[in-house]
Amino acid sequence: MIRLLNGCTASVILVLILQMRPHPMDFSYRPPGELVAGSGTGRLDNKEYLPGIRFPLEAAPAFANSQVWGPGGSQGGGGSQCDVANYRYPWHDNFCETRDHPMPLCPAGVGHQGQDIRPATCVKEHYWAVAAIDGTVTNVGAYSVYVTADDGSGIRVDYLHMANVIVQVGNKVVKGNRLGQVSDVYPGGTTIHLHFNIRQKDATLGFVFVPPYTSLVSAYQHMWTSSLHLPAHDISSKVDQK
Amino acid sequence: MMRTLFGFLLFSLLIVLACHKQGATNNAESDAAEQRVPQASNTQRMAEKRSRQIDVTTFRVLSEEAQRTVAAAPVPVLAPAEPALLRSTKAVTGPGYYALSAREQGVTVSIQGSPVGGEQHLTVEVQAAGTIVGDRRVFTTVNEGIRTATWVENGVAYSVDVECEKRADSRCESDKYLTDIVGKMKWVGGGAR
Repeated sequence: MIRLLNGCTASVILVLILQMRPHPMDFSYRPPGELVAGSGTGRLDNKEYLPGIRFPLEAAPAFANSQVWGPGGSQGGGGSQCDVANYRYPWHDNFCETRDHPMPLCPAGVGHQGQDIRPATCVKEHYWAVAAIDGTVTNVGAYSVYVTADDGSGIRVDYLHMANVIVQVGNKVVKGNRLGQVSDVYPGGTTIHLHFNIRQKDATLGFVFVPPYTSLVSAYQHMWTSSLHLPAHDISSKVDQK
Repeated sequence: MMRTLFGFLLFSLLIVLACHKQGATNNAESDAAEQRVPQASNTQRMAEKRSRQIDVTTFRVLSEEAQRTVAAAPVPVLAPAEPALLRSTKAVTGPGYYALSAREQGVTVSIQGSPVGGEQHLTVEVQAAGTIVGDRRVFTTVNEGIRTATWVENGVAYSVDVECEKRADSRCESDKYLTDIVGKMKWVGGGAR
């Protein structure tokens, strides 16, 4: 009888756990370049363009995925942006997702320039975006904040759609410093997410948008293993094979 | 005596003629050279002039703080020529870059310059058709509504971003405003060109 009760209790606990929102330890991600079905052709590229960055949201969990091809997006088949499907793993790359704008690194020659990241929930202006690199704030626009690296590389990272921005042009920031809150600031509106770009120099073209996905995967893993004080080799996150 | 005098006069005449001819030749060569030089080097001369002199008119519109920052920049600083933008420009410099940020009547214009090369430049192959803007070949695109242009000039990568607060703003509906800025940019200081 006691065994049966223990079994039932364990089952209830398991169900409760499964219903809870994803824990960072459950993290998994689809491979770089694999976009949401029907959203275009991604760039198959495992290169980590900006290694060692801090994940640009202050806290996990966070969900890198498509805003347009997810529930609540214009190509997402209706629903709400708060749909649980938008707030679970695995992550999806959305660099090069279908857009009309020229993008030299995208197979189609056009596409989405960065990576969209949802915070833990669809609560607006609650979650902080933070500096991914040590650098200087070089621009604050109506819905943009740019931070340029202070390591001589000229690399720039861009944060879009934030509200309550607390930095100004000229401020020095180090990894983890708060910049603003994740929101949907954009002329005409968008979903609640952070759009994150990395711009790097090419010798002939100039500043080019490069894929941020692999750098973000590493940064995310590093963030929560650090917070849990786990050595990196204990990480159970993986490339999702489903 | 007469023969000696005649000989002297004849000799002098020959000398004068010879000198005149030499002078004429020199003048002709000089004239030809002067005609050649401007034709051959008008563009060069303009480029040299531009490479030595900052645009003082543009520079003076910047705030004193921006002027100081621009003057100390490690790379050649290109700035927009539009006075309204210049007046609101904030300038930042750091290791290997400068950046300008200006907000004026609903538009933010952001400019950055940094030398190409070095260890952290892009190593993957990038190909894209550019647009000719003035004497620059510029690549333009749109990132989340932000119009951006980028190019390489004198070994420095530059970018100009134009971002509008409102959706129905003609400055962000086409590349015209962006390319107008790029085409009229002035050198206002920083490292040598």
